Amino acid sequence: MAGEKAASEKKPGEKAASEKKPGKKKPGEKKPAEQQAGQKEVGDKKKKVKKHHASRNPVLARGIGRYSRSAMYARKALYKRKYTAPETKIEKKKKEKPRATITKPVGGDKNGGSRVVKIRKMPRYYPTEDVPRKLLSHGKKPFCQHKRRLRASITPGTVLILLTGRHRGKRVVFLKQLATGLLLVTGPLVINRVPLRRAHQKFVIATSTKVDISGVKIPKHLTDAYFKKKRLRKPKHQEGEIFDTEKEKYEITEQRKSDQKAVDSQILARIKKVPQLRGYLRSTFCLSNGVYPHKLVF
Amino acid sequence: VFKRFVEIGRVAFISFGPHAGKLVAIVDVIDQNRALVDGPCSGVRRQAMPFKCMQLTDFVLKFPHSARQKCVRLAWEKENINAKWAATRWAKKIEAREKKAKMTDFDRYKVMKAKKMRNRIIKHEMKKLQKMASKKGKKPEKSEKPEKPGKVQKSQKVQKAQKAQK
Repeated sequence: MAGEKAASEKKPGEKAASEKKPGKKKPGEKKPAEQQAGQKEVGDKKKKVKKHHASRNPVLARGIGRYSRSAMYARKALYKRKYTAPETKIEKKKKEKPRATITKPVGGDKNGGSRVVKIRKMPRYYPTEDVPRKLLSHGKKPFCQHKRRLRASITPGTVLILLTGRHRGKRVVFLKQLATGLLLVTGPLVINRVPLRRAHQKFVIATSTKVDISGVKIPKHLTDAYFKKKRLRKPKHQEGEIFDTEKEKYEITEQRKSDQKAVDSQILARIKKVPQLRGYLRSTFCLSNGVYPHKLVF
Repeated sequence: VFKRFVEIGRVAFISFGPHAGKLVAIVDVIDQNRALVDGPCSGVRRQAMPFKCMQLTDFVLKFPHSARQKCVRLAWEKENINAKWAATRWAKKIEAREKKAKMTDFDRYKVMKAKKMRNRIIKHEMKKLQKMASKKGKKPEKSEKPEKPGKVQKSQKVQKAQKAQK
């Protein structure tokens, strides 16, 4: 409208002025060379809304200005400034109203055939406290925010002795600690049939034997989510077939095999360098008469 | 019946206390229970020590009673007690015990493998000789021979195991 015309009038005028005199107020779209020469205006250049003029109505006494309404209208040049933008928003909103009711068919005779049903109904119950007030607690963090610790004796490449699980007693190479704090560990598979697996720090003895794993690259997709046990839960209410749908037998995916190969090939090379280490990893740990764990140096 | 006596210059091994494991020379006797003791070459200051914590060794030094540390040191170094001590079976046993306690899990595995190999070799030789003996009838000479080759190999294996431990 008029305001837009005025704004567009300003632009060519400004551009003309700036071409002649660098140093005056310029729009930000201008070439950087000219900008650098002169001073820049802060904010958007298309609408000079940001720069506010001081009051054009001098104060005679508190609450009484020098000029009348009509005089101020002229002084502020409101005949030029007529904004129409807000109206379009209202028009848009009027069009976008979602459906409030829906007509549904109804069975039975003498019922009228259909009913008008509200789509969004009012709540049938308001609790006395909208959000029930929780008791004050301090420092109680969820599991994902817990601090993960690692024993100083466990460093990448350490040989660990697993104490629990189906691989108890086996000696295994430690790779890294995962985000949940569990240790990523591998046999290697060809040595003692322990695949890439997670182990718990507490149920592991760290020996002082270390394999140099400095250059080994462990794929980044080996995270806790990769190792997490998957359980199918599809209650289809078919009694008798419930146990079949869930994974009874664990199947080794091809990805696991390829990951295992990728990691193990790097580690096996380093294991071969240390004499007798391969046989050591193949053996299992056990106690016998006269062997006391508290007296052993691991 | 008693071969080692408490005398001036007797070198003793301290079995317990703050200076456990060190050698000292008895410089003087204070009373029935204590002696003035000095170990210049083993890091024990001249002090009184009860007899109970001392165990007498076979070594005796020659110096007069209440001789100063310098004299004790001279006598000690002249006799070269440190080297002699290290050569005794007593000291070797102590060392072996210490090494065994320090063995890591990997070392234990290596020792186990070495022992196994050694025992196999010995058994193998024994069987060979037994066979020979049984074939040729009863001859008492044969029973003496198997020990010697076995022992030679034993010492080699033991050395290997000790090196692995280190």
